[in-house]
Amino acid sequence: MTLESYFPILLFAVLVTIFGVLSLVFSRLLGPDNPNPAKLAPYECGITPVEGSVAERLPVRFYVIAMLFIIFDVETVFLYPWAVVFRRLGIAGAIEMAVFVALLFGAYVYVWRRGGFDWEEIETGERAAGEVTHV
Amino acid sequence: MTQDPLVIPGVNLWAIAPEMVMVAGAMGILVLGAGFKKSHPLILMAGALATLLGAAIAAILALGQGSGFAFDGTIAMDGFAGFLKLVIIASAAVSVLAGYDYIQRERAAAPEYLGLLMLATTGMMLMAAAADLITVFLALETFSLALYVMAAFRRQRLDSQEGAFKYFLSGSFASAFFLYGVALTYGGTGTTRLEGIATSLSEGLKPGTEVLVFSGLALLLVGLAFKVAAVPFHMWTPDVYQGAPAPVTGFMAAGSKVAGFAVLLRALYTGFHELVTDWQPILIALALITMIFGSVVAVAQTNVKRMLAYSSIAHSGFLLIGVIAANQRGLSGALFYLGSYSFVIVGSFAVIYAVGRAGESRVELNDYRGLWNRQPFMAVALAVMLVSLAGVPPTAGFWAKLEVFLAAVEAGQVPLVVAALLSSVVAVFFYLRVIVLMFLQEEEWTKEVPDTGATSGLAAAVGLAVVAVLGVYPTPLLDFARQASLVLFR
Repeated sequence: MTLESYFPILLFAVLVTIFGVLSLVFSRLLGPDNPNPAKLAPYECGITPVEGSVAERLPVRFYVIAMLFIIFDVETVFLYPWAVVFRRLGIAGAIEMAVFVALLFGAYVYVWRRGGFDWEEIETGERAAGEVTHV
Repeated sequence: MTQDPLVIPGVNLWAIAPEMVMVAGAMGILVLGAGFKKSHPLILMAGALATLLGAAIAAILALGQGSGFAFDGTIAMDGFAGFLKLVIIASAAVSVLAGYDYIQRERAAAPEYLGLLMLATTGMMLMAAAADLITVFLALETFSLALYVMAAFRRQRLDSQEGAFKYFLSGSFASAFFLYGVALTYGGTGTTRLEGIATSLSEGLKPGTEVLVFSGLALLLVGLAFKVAAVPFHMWTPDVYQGAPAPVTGFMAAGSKVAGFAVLLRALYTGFHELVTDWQPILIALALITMIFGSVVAVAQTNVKRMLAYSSIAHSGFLLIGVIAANQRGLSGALFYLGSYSFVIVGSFAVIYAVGRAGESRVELNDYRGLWNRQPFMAVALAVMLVSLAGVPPTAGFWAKLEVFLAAVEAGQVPLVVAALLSSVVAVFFYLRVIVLMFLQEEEWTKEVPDTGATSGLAAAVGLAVVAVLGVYPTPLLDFARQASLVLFR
């Protein structure tokens, strides 16, 4: 491929830039500007937006729960199709799944011993990696 | 309802034996460390080293099993993978040593440090063996996710948070680029296996699929250039190198470079070899700006970790020259380069950690004034390793650069080599500046008792020994690299 064959890419880049700039300029120039409170409110999935500042603090421990949920959710996702073809996979499939579950069980023990399931202890952070987690 | 058993592709566990050992060890250390509160970091470190030794033995035994593919062609089992796996294991072992002092001094979480390090090592080893673009992506994510967390290990510190966040965001972008490249390549060639891509390309592309293959290759290169910190995909490097604890930085610098170049070499030398005239110019441009930018900007740094970050960028440029050469000498030279560079960079960061003291407060160039008087061994070790990074004979770095440059000359890339030599000369300046500061300058502040830990000294000693031995007697590793490179030239 010679350099000329890259010309469409250059052309595309130029066109995209022009399109972006034109869209912004014309919507500014031609668009009607009559704001009302409902229009200015942030869109939040169709529900009434949160009152006050949205930059308030959320308890960080929720993210631990979200992560744990994903781990065990993925386990289930893998177990279902495996259960369907369990007989056809034979002994090799059973061993594979045993290894998979064993690894997840290791993660489970780790989370448990680290206090990942204790709502109170995460708050004081006594066992969480030896550091204080500010909630 | 009776059905025939499913056909399961041929399984050769030798191909992933080292990785299996590593995962088992990592899980064991995590559970042990979390399960028994009093388990001493020393026990965990011994466990990590034993696991790494086991993985090394498994890798050596796997070398004796002949070469071929396992798991339906997704994992390669050959000298190339074996060589790089051993390099990765060795640099991980040195990082464990250097990390032990870090764990002791900063009271960092030992099981997490070691567990993440070992899982990252596993991902890097898979990168070296992956013969399928999807497997590459999985391995890439495995080691990247572990490294994102390790970069944030000093999480109370702002620079660590900043570096880790930048690394995570730009790394996710790079992964997305890579994945999109995989998809386009699949669209163009109908397969993600490197062997299959090679066959499909040698049979000639169907009209219309050309654009898919070329844009796919370009996106793959973006993703990998990010991991090896080639300009202009290097932005994360200085901040992450500065923010992460020094032992982690050393591991990151060595491991992600080895892993990234492993895939670059294997993909470009086998899968995309047919397109050599197309990817060469791209890589030449990358290599040129990478080494010139890295060397020149490193001169302006006052922070030693940032300086070594830009130096590592420059080294990516030199390594790219080995890729560009596209001959066997280029491949074996790049392998030797990766081997020696890993030890040097891990050892250097062990010294930086030992000099840094509590909280790594001493990482500015001025803090290295008169280091010879305070910590003579550390000063000597760092000096020798910096000389090797500069590529001055007789050190390992000299032979590495020589091999790579000669390969490029063989391939007719003389202007590129001239540019590389010039940027090496620029680079000598900032390496020598540190050495001058350490040996010829008086320290400005009153003497303190150095609190050098024993294991960082050991890590530095390993780096020093490898540099010195390979500098005087590089033949064994060169031969090993040559043998390892044969497999991609059948």
